[in-house]
Amino acid sequence: MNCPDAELLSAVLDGEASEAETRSLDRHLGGCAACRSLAAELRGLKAALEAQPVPPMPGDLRASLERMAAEVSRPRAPARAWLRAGLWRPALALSLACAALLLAVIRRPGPEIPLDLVLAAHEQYERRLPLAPTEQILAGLPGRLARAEAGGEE
Amino acid sequence: MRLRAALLGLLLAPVPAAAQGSAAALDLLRSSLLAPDSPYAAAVSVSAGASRDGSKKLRVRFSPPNRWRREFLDAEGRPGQLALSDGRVEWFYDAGQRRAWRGEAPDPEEALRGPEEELELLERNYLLALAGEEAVAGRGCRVVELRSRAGKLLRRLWVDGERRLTLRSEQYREDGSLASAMRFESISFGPQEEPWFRFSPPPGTAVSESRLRQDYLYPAEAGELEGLKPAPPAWLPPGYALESVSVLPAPGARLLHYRYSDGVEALSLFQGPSSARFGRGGRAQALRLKPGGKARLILDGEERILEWRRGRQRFVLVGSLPVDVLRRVAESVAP
Repeated sequence: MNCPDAELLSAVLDGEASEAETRSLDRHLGGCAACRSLAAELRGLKAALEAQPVPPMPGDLRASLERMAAEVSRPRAPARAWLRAGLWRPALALSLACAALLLAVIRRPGPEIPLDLVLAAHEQYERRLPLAPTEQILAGLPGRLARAEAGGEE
Repeated sequence: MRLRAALLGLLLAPVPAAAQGSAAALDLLRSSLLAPDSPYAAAVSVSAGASRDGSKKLRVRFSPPNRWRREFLDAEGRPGQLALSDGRVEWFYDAGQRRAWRGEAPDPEEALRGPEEELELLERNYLLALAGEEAVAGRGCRVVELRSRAGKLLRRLWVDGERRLTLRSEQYREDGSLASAMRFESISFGPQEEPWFRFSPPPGTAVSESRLRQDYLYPAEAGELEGLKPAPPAWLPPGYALESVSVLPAPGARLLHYRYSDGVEALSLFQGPSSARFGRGGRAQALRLKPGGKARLILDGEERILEWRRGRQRFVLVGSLPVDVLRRVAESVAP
């Protein structure tokens, strides 16, 4: 495999890539110091972003967005010369980039719920059933609770 | 006249042996489950699939009606983990990690479906039969077999003929292979002192309150409490019924936990806001869901976990049912 692009690397780190892509990237990282370093940087950046508190939306930004929304919903005036000349394209690109950044900040993912926690809750219920394998469930429960707590602290 | 004779014939006809065996097996099971009245101390071994940490040996103590202690031994025979209950508080302790979790003991009186009703569900969905006698830990046991309605052997239990205690059990997969087993190696009956059922965390132990709560709520009640519109599945596998709903306080979101069973197997559905993010788990694969969308399937030992998002809600389904059945349950969830 050639060096992966940042999009694939990011998808693997976010758990959004397929199993085959993940395996292939893992193999590549084993032999490519540059990509290992990039992956470590991305992981660090992701962790730092997730650790950031969500900033409140500034009042003037909110007012601007509301004005823009009102503008968009107002009946359109006839196209002006600048619109016809295609000058709107850079402005639209800039607006979309700002909106994407704002969305990323607002939709910062919350903490991860460890699957061990839902499995522990499931087994806690299963334990009450007449023929439950109680000893096996209890044997695994401290381990599940420990893993659930470790996962929840991420 | 002919009709009267036929009815009389039916009344006097001997009950088929299989039906007698079934009733006797159910009675034996009922007495072993509903009224455990003998205190004891025992050495037990368990073996199970990967999710339940392989084979283990443990020391068990029990005192009626609801006090118990299990010490799980490490390779050198020293207690590595401990689980105990004094009937009100349950403790789980991991000596290696120096961590302990304290939680509320379940109160069967509060359950929306009591043990007797669970047994009725079991009887409706499965076939029970006596299958001979065999000694376990030096005690005479009667063997009870549980089969699916199609006749497939799912469980075998060895119940102490005198004390009505299950001394050995085996659980089988759909393909007939052994999924897990439990066996008493030795047992002695006699009073168990109160201190066995109390726990004081050793110095340096990190103690947490367990997130596993013991709620027994109706869906509407739970939804109102958590500000979520309950979205239970419209379709359930044959024989399954809702027991109750509880609330699971998970990191970043509170989840509704719908608990279903058919008297033997448990099925759990968790519902939370779409912002809830679940861990990656082990081996995962993507599945298509109708009418649109995809789910993530994760295998954890005998359990299958299906996770998906629909509308503004996120769901996780946990059970040991075949994937196609779980998928059908998931597809019937319409928030």
